[in-house]
Amino acid sequence: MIEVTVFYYLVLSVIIFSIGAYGMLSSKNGVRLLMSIEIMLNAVNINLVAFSSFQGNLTGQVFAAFTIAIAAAEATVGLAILLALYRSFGTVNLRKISKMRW
Amino acid sequence: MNIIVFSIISAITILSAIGVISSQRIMHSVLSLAVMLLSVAAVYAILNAEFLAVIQVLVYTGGVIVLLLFATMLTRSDLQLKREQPSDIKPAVAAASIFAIGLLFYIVGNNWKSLGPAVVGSVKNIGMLIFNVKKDVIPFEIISLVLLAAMVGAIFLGRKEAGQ
Repeated sequence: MIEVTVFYYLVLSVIIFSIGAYGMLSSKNGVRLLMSIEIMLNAVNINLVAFSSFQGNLTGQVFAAFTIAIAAAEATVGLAILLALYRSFGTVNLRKISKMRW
Repeated sequence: MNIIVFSIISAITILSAIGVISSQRIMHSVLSLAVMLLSVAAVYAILNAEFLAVIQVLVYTGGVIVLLLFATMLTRSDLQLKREQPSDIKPAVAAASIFAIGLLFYIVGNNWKSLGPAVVGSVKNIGMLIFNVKKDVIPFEIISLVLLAAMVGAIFLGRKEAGQ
């Protein structure tokens, strides 16, 4: 039986983070962009918790708890911004919201 | 930790993360995100971080998913959703895969053998860290200010303009 070391968790975290980065770069929909950011934050949290658990140092878990709180605040403000955008543009399609973009 | 359990949980995590970015309907994406967050909670559980697993289920699947469902329904995103054009996808695929390959090379190139097996972190010890004046109590208090500011900001951004 192979022992699961911290290496496996790091690889899992890289894969999830890259999926989130791809989603963030390619999504047209604002809600899906926010979901991709949540995926990336979760990948970072897996990294923090893995190192914390394998080193026997709980500071990483405290950091991960703080990250979760910041992610919740970010989701709230992001969704409020999306609602304001929807109210003024009538869409959340990020390719069509181009008023201040060249 | 048993590698079979780890493989099953990470397969569920990766597949549901792919589901989030590839489903046609945005509602299906939100539901895949719920599955993904629950399986990340399972990853925390097999890393002996029970406190974070519970926090993950409470905050993410209890709070963030509900917010995302509200946003999906209020913005009626499903009506405008179309598949991405190939020209949109190529730079994103290139950037994400270059990033992933670079990080994987870095991870494979390092020796992680010096790190021991996973240890048990109890809730009590985390509380001792957070509420210790010499450790993390100041970030903890600042987090409460950040949450208050986010709440006020969300109310301000989300309200209707006067006269509308």
